[in-house]
Amino acid sequence: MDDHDLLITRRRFFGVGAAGIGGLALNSLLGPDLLGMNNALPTTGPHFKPTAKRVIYMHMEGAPSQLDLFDYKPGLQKYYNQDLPESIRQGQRLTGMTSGQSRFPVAPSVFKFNKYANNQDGVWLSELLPHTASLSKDMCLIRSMHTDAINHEPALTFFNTGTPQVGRPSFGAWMSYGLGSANANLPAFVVMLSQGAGNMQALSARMWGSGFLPSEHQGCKLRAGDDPVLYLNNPAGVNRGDRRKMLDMVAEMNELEYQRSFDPEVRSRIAQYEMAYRMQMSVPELTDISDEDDATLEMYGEDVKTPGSFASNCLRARRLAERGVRFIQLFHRGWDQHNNLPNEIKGQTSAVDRAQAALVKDLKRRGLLDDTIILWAGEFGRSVYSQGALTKTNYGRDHHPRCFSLWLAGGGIKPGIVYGETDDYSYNIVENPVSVHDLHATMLHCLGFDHKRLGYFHQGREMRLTDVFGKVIKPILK
Amino acid sequence: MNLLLEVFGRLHPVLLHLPIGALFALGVYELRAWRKGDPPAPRFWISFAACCAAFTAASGWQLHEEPGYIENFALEWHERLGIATGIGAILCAILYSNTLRYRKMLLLTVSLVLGAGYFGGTMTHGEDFILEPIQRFVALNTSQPPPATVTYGYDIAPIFKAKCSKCHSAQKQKSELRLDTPEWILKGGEEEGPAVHAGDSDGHPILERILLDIEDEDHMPPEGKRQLTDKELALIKEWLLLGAPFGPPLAAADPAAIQKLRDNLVHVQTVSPDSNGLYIDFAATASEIDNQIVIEMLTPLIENIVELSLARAKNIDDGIMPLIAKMPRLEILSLVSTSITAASQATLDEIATVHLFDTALQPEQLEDLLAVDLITEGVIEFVSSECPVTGKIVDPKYTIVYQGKEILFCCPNCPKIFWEDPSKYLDAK
Repeated sequence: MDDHDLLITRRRFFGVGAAGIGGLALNSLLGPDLLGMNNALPTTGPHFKPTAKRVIYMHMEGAPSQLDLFDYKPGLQKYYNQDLPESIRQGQRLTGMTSGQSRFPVAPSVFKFNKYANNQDGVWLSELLPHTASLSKDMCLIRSMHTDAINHEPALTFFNTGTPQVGRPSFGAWMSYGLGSANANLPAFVVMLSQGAGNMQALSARMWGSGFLPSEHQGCKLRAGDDPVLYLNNPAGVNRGDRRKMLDMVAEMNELEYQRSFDPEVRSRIAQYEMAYRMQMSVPELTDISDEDDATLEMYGEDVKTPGSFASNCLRARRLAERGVRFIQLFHRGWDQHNNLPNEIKGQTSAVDRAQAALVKDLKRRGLLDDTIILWAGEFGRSVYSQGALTKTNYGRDHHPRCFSLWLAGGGIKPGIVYGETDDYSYNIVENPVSVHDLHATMLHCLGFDHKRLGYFHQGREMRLTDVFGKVIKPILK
Repeated sequence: MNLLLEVFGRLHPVLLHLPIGALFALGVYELRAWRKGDPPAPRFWISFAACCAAFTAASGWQLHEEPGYIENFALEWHERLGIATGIGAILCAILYSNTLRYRKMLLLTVSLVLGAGYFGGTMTHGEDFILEPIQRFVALNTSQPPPATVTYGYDIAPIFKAKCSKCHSAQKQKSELRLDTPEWILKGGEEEGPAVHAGDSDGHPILERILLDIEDEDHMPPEGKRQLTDKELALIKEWLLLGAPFGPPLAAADPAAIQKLRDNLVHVQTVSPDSNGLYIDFAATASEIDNQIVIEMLTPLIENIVELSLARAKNIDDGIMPLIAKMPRLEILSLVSTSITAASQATLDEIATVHLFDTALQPEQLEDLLAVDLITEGVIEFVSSECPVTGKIVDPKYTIVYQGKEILFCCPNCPKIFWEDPSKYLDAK
C-alpha cells in the first residue's frame, strides 16, 4: 500500500465518493447556471425568487449608543441622575466594567432629536445624523434588536457568524457559498476596515472567515493604500504571460495532488490562484476613483479622497456593488464609549453620517438600491445608566445587549418604517423583539434563501447561519 | 363447511402455480415428442394437470365469492380464461387416446393458461408490472416531461372543466361567470368582476370563494357538489401565486448561448429557481463591450431575458434599442452610464423599470413613467425636538398643527404662549 491508499479510509472514501458523484450529478442537472467561472466550486443558488442580489453591511464595531442616535426617549430628561429602578433592571447581569458601581444613574441623551417624515407617522432621529436622516423614507429602523452576548468579541462573532462561539462561517462566506460571484473577476465577499475616533476594540479576521466552508468563500480584505490586496502584483521581472504559464503549471500539479489526496482545500487553492490572476486586472480598475465626477465625490464628503476612511470605503462599496460583488462589509471601529460619550460619538458620527447617506443615495440613483440590502448595525446597544461620573454634559455608557437599534434599506425591505419598541428607559423591549437569528433569517429570505435549508454538512450535522433558531420578520418585508 | 370453502378459495394463489407449471411442461414435452414421432407423455401426468387446473379454477371461482374484488377487464378475462383452462385440461385428459387431438387441445389449453396467468398477474401487481422498468426508461429518454411549473393549459383548465363547468361554462353561466376560457375568466362575473387578477400573487376572488368554509353559502364548489381535492387546491394556489399566467411556460434558454456569455465573463442566472427567465449582467466587462458584441451574444436569448444590466458600458448607445425592443419579457433594464440618448425614449416607455442615471436621457422624458423616484437634495424638512418657546426638549404629547406643520412643545403651557404670537416664535427659529 502506498500513501494514497492509506489516506483513503473507508469512511472518507464513501464521503468523498458521494460528494463527488453528487457534485457531478448536480452539475449536469442544473447546468453551469449555478457554477462559478473556471475552477470556482459549485454554489447552491437561491431557493426562491430573491428581492435582493447583494448586501452592503456597515458594521459599527464597538456598539453605537441607540439612546443618542435612534431610540428617542424625551421622558428620560426628568429622570436625570435618578437611579435606574430595579423594576426595569430586574437584576440582569452587568459587565465587569460597571458591576462594581454603587449606583446606576440615568443619563438622558444630551443630543436633540428631530422628527422626519417617513412612510408611517414619522421617525425621530438624532441631530448627530443629519444626512442619514435624509434617508428617513428609505430606511427601516428596528428599535427592538437584542443579542445574547454582552462583550464585544462574542457579540461580534454572533452578529457575523450566527453563534457566539468561534469557528462558524461568516454571513458573507455563506453568501459567497450560496450565491457565488456575479463578476468572475472579483471575489464574492469583500471586506474593508476604517479606524474610528473613539475607543477601539480588537477586530479579528475571523469575523469574515469561512469557518468550515471551503476557504475561497472567506472575505477578501481590501486595504487602504496603493496595494489594496497584498501580494497581488507580479514581482519585478515577471510579466503577465509568465505568470499565466506558471499558474497553469502549478494548477496541473495541484490537480495531481488533489487526485492523490482528495483534499478540497487543494481545489480552493487552484480557484484562488485563478481569482488572484484575474484580480490583477480588476482591482486597480476598481480602486481607481479618477472616473468619479466631482458631484459624486462632494456627496460622500471631503474624507472620500483619504484612502482608508469610512467615506472612501463607502465609495468603494458602491463601485463593488455595481461590479456584482455579493457581500460587501465595512467595519468602522471606535464606537465603544464607556466614558466621554458625548464628545467621542460626535467624532464617530461625523465620520460616517455623510458618507453612509451618500452611499444609499448613490445606489438609489443608479438603480442598485432596489436589489441591495443595506444593513447598518453595531453588535449590541448601550446602557441607559452612566458608566462612571454623570454630569449634565458628560457621561459614559456600558454594554447593553437587551435592546438596541439598527437600520436596513433596499433589497425588498419595507422602506420608511420603524419596527419594534423599547420601554421608557430603552432597557427592555416591549414590542416586536428581533433576535440576531431573526435578522439573519430575514435577510436570507430577501436573498432568496430559506434559512432552514441553506446548510452545510459538518461534524455530523447540517450547519446553518441561523443554527436551529431564527424566524423571518415578515412585517419589515415589502 | 363454508369456512372450509373459504379456505379452499384462498388456496387459489398457491394452487394456480401447479396447472401453469404442469400444462406448460406437458406442452413443451408433447411438442418435442410430436416432432420426433415419440409417443405422448404418460396418462398420469395429463390427469394430474387436469385435476390441478380444475381445482385451481374452482378455488378461483370460490375466491371471487368473497367481497372486495374490483370488477374490471382483467378480473373478467382472468375468470373466463381460468375456467376455460380448467375445461380445456379436462378435455385433454378425455381426448388422450387420440394423440393428435389431445396434442392440439393441449396447445390450446397452454395458451389459455398463459392468458389467464397474465390477467391474474395484472390483477395483483397492476398493469405492465413486468415491462414497467423499460417503459420508465423509454419515457425518460423520449417524451416531454410535464412543465416544471404549474400552467393553465396543463394543470388548471382540466380542474375547472371537471369541477366548475357544470355551472360556469357555455352550457350554464351562474352569476354570469364562465371559467372555460382565459378571456371569460379574466372578464369574470356580474358582481365581483374578474375571477383572477392576472399578475398578482394574491387577492384572487376565485380563491377567496374556494377557501370559504364549506358551510358558507358563497363557498365554491357549493356544498353537495364535488369538491376540489387537496392536490387540485394546491395546484390552483400555486398557479394564482404565480399571477395566474395563461400562456405556455417559457422554454429554457439555449444552453450554448448561455455558455458563450459565461465564457465571455458575462453573469447569467435565472431570475428564480423555478423560472427560465434570465438575469444578465455585463458588470465584469462593461468597459469592453459594444452594441455589436451585445447584439451577437443576446440575440439567441431575447425570449428569456427578464433583467438586463448594461450599466457602465460607455460604448453602448441607441444602436442597442432594436435589440431591446425585441425582448418581450424584459422587466428591469439598467442603462446607467451608457451613451444612450433621447432617441431611445419610445422603446423604453414599454419597460416596467429602467435605470437611466448618468445618461443623456432623463427619466422625466419617459411618457409612461408613473412615478419618478428622484433623490431630493437640499433642505430636509423635519420637526424639531426643541420647544420654540423655551428651547427645552419637547415632549411629543404636546403637539399642535400650525399651517399644516407639526410643532412640538416642552409643556402644556407653551402652546398657549405660542398662539398669542406664532410668528414671533417661528421667526426666532
